[in-house]
Amino acid sequence: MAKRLAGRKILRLSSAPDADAAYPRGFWHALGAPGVAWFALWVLVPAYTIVAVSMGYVSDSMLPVPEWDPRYWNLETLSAVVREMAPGGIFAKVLMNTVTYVLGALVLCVLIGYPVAYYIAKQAGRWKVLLIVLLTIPFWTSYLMRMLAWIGLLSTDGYTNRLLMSIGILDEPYGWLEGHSFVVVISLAYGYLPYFILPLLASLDRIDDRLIDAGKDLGLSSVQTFIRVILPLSKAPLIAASTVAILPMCGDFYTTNLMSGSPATAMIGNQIQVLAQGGPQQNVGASLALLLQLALILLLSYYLYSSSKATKAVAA
Amino acid sequence: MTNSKPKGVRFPRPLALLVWAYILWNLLPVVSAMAFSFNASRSRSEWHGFSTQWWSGTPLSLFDNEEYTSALTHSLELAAMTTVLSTVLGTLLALAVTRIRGIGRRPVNFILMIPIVTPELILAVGLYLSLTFIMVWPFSAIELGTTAQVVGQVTYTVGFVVVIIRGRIAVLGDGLEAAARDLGAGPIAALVLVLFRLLLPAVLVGAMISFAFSIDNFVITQYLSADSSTVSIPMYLYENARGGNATPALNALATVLVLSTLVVVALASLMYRWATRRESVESHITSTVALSA
Amino acid sequence: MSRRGLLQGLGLGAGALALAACATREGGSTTGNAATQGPGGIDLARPDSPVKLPLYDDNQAIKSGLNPEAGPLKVYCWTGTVPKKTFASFEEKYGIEVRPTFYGSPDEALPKILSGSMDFDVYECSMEQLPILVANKVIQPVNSSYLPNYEANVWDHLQSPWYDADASYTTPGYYWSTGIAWREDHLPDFDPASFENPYDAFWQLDGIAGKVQFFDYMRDALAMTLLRNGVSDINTTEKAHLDAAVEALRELTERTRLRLSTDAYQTLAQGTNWIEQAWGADVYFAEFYLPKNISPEVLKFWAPEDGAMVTSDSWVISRNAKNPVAAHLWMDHLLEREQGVNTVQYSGVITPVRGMEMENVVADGIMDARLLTALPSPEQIANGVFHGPLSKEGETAWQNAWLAVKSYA
Repeated sequence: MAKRLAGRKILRLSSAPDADAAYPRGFWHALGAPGVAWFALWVLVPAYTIVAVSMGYVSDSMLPVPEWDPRYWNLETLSAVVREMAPGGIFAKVLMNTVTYVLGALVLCVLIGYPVAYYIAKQAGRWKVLLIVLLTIPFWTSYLMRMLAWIGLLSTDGYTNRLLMSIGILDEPYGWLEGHSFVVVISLAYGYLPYFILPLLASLDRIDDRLIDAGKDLGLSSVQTFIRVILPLSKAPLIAASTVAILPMCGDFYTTNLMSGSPATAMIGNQIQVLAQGGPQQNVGASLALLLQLALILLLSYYLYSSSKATKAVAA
Repeated sequence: MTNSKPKGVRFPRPLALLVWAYILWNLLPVVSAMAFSFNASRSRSEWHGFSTQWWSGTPLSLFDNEEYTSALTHSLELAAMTTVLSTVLGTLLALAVTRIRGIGRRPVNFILMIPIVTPELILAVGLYLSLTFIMVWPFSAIELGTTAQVVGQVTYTVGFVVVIIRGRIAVLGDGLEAAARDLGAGPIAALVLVLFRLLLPAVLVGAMISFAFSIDNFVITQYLSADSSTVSIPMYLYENARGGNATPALNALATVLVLSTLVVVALASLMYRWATRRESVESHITSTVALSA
Repeated sequence: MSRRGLLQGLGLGAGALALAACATREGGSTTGNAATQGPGGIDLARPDSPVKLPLYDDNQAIKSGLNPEAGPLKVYCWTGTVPKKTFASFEEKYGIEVRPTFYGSPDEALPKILSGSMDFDVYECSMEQLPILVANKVIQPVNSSYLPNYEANVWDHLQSPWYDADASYTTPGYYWSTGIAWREDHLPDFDPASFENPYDAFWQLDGIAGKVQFFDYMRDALAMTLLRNGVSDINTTEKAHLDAAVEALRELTERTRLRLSTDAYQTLAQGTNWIEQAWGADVYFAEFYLPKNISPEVLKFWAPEDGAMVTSDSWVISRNAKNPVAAHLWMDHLLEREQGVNTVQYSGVITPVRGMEMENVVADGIMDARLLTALPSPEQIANGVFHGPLSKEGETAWQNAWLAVKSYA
């Protein structure tokens, strides 16, 4: 043992300082093994199962049968689902809803979240810590509780209607929860803003103040500094925060179910949730899940590509 | 205590108003929903005076109705198991990924990120399909219900635990462990003695994060549930939010959920602050934020 | 209108896929007449054409004269149907612990049962699932020697029911009717009798936008729409009928922002909905959720005397039951009139045993006379329309139609 360690010491001197050398061969791999096995079992295998079910068929006894062997994969369900997403298809409206709701909510997130994050990161002064704490509370408050709270406030006899009627904006109670797209969009924005704001705040906080001072020293006005210095520096953080918000929104089904419940406001997540649970259309549900995942992987790759480009640009 | 002088471009007051409006917009509804758990009537939208009848003492109250107590205990059960499992797995993984050199490092890092960047619904569907279609151990051995829910929740939370602990290891560096070895400790003893003791706060924070994620988890828990005995608090809220046993007791249930998460998270950040008390204030704030994001 | 073409496309896709897969992997599989046969080649049962479910050599009923097992008996049933009193009285009578597991809807239960991920002894099964369970051999035939109450108590016409002639796999479960529920305080002028086709009321009434709900159950929602469209066969698989139903629900969604959900009794009680598709039992349930200042008289329910949608279910035993004898005892226990009384008082559904006919229920003071319309009468049951099992192609067509409704396509 001592000999082996001595041998390694020399190696350590010749290479970069390496604390691992003292440990038995494979020690770290062994430590990581249970976790890796766990992920292989419960992440990779399930991902493959989605593919297999999507490429499978429905037996005569109306049981979906996954196709595990790629040689027999049949793309028909998947391509039928893609066809149905075209205008006029079964999923056209749902796809449209998903895209417009997510984008709409994202716009709201940026419009509300960016100023808030910017203010707290750069201008809050002695209030900064308090504000950050207050911001993290909704982040840690159960999403469903936050929706539940609004369901009470938005119900026909709730305080929103009462307030709006008492100040004369409404003449009679408005049915907020009765299948309106705009309510779903606002709810999504409301629900995911905490996830959007915190990473944004963290990266805006890291913007070097000297750059801003430099802008001022060069004689730029406040507005000019904002447009020519701060805004360009905010681009990468905004893209990152948007990614953080888009990912869960795309798989959301509960927000629209709770705040509307009408088929007119269904999102792709609603169809996946119902179809994948069982029945002869489970392969359709799996195909939808697969397509959504592929779309998000594309989005994520774009994000990683653009952020690595940005890093390089900064380095250069 | 920090940044006493505002930096950057000055904006007029309305921006400050927007910030406070945003915060109130977020906090007031939740506070009001909590308050309605003390309503004297059945309504969850109209205030009729103070009462604790929905918390305990009446057959439909939170602590006396079997549906609520079973959701409460099931959620706590799941959270306990998830916390233990994902903390252990996450700590081991974090140690491994920071030390594994060469082959294996990239794939492990990649696979760790998958659950973090995948919508929960897709994770849930994948787990559900593999548990119902694969007839090979261990898939065949796991029935839908508590075990499946724990598996799903752990899969979802481990990645976050790893991120937290790995961040801590990066801050600590190799130095202390090497020092311990130089003082005569064997390599594994050095790891246990020094690293674990220094890592302990981060491990505890990881545990609390798992607890919070587990108790708030809805999508995976719902998808992998078997029946009404495996209904968790968020599932119960979802099923009854628009009607159901729509008494203020539902608000009481939600209040318990929110408070338990917030208390645990507050403890976690206090502990983190305490553990990193000698480090700069700047890194402090970043880490608080990083902890949340 | 290209929508309809594509609707068909998805269905054909699934069918063709199955054939292709069979051809490549299993060398082809042949079935009989696809239109009149369901899973496993079992004929499609209808009230006017009863079906004898097949018995298989490798799936036999238990022998007679066995002693009951120790339990616990695992009962898998609809949430809120079986009263606590019934569980308790069974435990008391036989000394066998009952461990109930509740599902939210039979659609949710079926995949769990078929995948084998659900451990149960006895299951409350909906009619259309029966051939699927039999063909996949996940349930076992019953041994009638353990079921003396069947012959003694059950209504005559169910001694050999249409869905299971000779009752070789099932004992009867519960009966309830599906109709229109409304709040009279919000719709004081509404009278179903004033409509030529009362189901059309959803499409006719003004000022109900945002206050309308249909069941989030494929069979119930589409069946009522078929009846509204004048199609009396609620098991039709004709494309034109299903397309028209999809179109009608689309129109209704456009007009009223129709909500699809399963909580009819709650939304009616809260007044968030004024008129909705509901089960009679929902009106009964709604009373418990009604705000104190509102009289239960405002809860109204309508179903036609002739051609009412009646749903019934049945009890079946798992092929892998660990307590098959106790499961028989459970099924027999439910066929006592006392349990019928408990059940109707608890959940508003009728157990088809003698003395539980609607007029008896009201005459004996078991239920309030106000709920008369909410309970299915013997005439309604005799002249009702029932959900029946569908062929594979039929099921696919229905699923596609329902998907189109839920996607607002």
